Amino acid sequence: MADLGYIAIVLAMASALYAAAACLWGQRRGEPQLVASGRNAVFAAGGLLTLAVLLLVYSFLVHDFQIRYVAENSSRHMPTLYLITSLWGGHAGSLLFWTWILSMFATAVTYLYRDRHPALLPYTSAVLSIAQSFFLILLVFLANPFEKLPFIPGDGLGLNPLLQNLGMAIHPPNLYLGYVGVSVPWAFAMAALLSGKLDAGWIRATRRWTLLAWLFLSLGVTLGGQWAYVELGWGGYWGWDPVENSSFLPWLTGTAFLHSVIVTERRGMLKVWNMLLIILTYNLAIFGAFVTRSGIIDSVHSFTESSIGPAFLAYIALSLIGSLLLLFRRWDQLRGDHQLEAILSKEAAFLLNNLLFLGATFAIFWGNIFPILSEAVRGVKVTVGAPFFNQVSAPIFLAILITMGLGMLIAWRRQTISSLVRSLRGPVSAGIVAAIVLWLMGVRLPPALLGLSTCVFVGAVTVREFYQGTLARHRLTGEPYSVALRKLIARNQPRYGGYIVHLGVILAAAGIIGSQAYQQEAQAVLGPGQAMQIGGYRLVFQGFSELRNENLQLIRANLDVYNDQGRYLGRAEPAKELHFVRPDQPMTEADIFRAIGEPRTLFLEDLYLILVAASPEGTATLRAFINPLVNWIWMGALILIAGTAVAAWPEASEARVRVPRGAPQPAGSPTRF
Amino acid sequence: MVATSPWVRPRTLAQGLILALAAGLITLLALGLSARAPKAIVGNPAPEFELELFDGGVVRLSALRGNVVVINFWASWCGPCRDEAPILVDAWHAYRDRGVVFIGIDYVDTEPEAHAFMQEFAVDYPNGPDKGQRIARQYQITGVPETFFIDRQGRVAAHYPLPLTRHLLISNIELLLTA
Amino acid sequence: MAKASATIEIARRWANPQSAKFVVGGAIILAAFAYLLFTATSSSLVFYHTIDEVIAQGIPVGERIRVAGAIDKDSIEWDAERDTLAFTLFNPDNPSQRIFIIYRGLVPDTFWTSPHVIMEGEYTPGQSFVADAMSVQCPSKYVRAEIQ
Repeated sequence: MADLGYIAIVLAMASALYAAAACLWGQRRGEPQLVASGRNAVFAAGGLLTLAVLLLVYSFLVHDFQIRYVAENSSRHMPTLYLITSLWGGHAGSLLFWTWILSMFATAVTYLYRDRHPALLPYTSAVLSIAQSFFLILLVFLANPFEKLPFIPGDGLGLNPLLQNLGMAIHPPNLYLGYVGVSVPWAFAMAALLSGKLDAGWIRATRRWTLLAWLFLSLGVTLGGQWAYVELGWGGYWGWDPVENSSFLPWLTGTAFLHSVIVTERRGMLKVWNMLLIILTYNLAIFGAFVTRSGIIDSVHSFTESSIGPAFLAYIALSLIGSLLLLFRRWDQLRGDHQLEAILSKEAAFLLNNLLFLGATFAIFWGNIFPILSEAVRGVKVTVGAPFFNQVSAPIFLAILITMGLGMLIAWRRQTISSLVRSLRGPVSAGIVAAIVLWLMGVRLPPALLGLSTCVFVGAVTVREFYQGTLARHRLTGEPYSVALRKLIARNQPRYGGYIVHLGVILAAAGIIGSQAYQQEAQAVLGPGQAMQIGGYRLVFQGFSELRNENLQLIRANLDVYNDQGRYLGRAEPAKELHFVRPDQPMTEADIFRAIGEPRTLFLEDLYLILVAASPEGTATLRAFINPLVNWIWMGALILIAGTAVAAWPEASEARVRVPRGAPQPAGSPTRF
Repeated sequence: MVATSPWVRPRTLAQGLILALAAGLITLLALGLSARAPKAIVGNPAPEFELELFDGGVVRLSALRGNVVVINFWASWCGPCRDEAPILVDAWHAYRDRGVVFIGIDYVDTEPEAHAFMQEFAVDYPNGPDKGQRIARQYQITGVPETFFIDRQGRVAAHYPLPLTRHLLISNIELLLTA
Repeated sequence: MAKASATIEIARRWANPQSAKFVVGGAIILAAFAYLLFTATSSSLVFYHTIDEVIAQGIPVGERIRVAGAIDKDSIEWDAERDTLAFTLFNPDNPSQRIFIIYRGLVPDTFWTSPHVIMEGEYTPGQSFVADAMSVQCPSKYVRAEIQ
């Protein structure tokens, strides 16, 4: 089994290398047959990698501990689901999984566009195959997941219990889909540079791929945060850990890219900028993998045993410098069709927004590599902690929020100040009203007040876009409002999908501001029958209960929760968990208390409970947090998914144009964005 | 700002800046990486060390050239080490007269606990604390237990970052003795 | 030829008051950004020190530092009521070098089994090290945890 798997990887490497060479040469020399055989090699590599992944999964399922990776990452006593997810529980396996995803993207792109973009596609396939070859070379020579042990252990070491939960089963694949997904727009961009077809064709071809990758990156960031929040039991969701940051960086530049391509499509500007952003996004995605795998920055997540750090760095150097040189070659051909005309224009707002995103990227990157920087320059190891990141990102993200609102308001090309003031009047008053209401409700911290009222301002701008559009359609066509709204969105899905995403982001931003500014915390040692108070809740400890199965032992503290009127709300059960395979690692299972009868626990705040310790005498040490608005972050993420789906949904608007329902269609072709 | 000089074209200036930034970054990362670059252990001469033993003596690895050496990193707080200890002790008794030396290196531990551990399993091969985790760093261990097999020429023949089984321990020693 | 036209192009662009606005705007943004980065960096530096450095050199008052050391398990006192953990950290190279730690905050599960720990906070010579962050990088291969 192990040999077969290794052979599959070696053959996949050969196929990918051949695919890259054949597509490049074939296209250069104009030999379609060579290109066609290169394309087949792309499919072959995809098939072989699929085989390798299936073989490894199978080895996990049958406990083939002769394979070192299986022995180090699973044990006989694991549920089937986690046996499968052990595939990406360790180092060599996640590399294989990553490469497999990349090969699937390469196969999909090569297959789906086989008849389109004949000038671009061979180059795209070639670039994707080159990227794939790199990872395959690593797998073959440095991190073989099918490496055999010289003996067969009776049982494996098992998977880290922190990774044995549903979140961790989903999180890595999802993040990899995002990291790897940006390869597609990057490969198209490189293809455009290689072929000299520099019009917006590559942007249009990759729009959905970019959105898809961006969606997965967004999910990766939020799911990672949610996992930390629910599983790690420290009451927070984002610790500015180097690996967390690394997943955030490509998201930032990817978001900037999504916006700057709009300007290119509408006005033929910012072309160099687009290229730079996608190059940066791709390399930051690889950098994310590099940080995780090389242990170059001390992190909770890093796997320091890895010897492939230098290889990764060499690849970053190659792809970064290579992409940049390609870009420089075509620099003059990428001149914009128009000049920026006025500061008060959508173009300028987009540019400013892009600069801010880039600034945030740079600042977080700076904080991330600061220990390396200081060690190299001054010889001392100095870090900057969470305060740095909070201090830097708060003003930048506030500015991004404000430009988000302004960007939606301002017209393309130029806008007069007086008309801007007119359109600002409504949303700004909404923001001011919100600030006053919040002040009266007791929100007095200036940053929170400013941040939340900005959210209301941007929200008002966004809602008004929908409102005005629907109203105009209603007046024009006489459709009922609900139909008008639906058709408004269907007419220009990218634009209104984007606005829905904005709503999600605003909601998440409000959640972040609320939970950062108004977290409450209390700790108490309780005997049976004793109670503690926090934020209008009374918690009465009713003793422990214990649960045992073949895998683990669970000690729960039973807490009756009452509100400040003394009404019983329900039971909370924070717990400690002991996995028998690894008894030296107890785990804290936080409980986030929710009660249907108490709406604030559903919509406004989390009552977050941790069992710190259970004494043999029967007393419990408990820590309780009130985390306001944390839910909004996850709700914002859901809205963001919905918005992205609307923006990327394929045929809806086209289909509607083809089948008119009698209602008069407004003139003009459907605009993208 | 620099571009006001008519002799510098903004194109090349921008490109130069971007390239310099990229190159600088890569250099920086390379520097950072080389600061903690792991070199291959297996197949290379075993890193030299001197270990002060719990019972007062000193062991120097190079002085054992010509013997097969089994270096085991352990700690009293480590669960799998407890399973491994009797296996190691048995093998030591079986091979001590055949040109095989065992060295136990106690990784990040407190002395009373370490002594209790050694007493419990009757560990009687040379054993000492890894002060400042110097040896651990030289051998780039990622945890305990880990075991290294050194051949008669002083090269690292094998490295196991896992608790050993009896079979594995003995087959490795036999392999090196017959080589 | 191309060079000359490019130069004229630049001259025209720079003479344009509209462009000047963008340049000034860009410069302001850049300056604000640089200032933000600088102040945030300098106010949140955390230096790594070893225990003998802390004892021998003395650390400037108010400087945030990180100190790694081995935990003296017998010294651990935990006051659950007041949420305070007190223990002695010693230099594994030289166990007579010890500093007394007072920590308020969440104690990660791994603290109790880990032989060493990294503490972050401020140190006053002659007194104790008041820490508000703890990282346990457990050397056992499957245990790595950190609490912010």
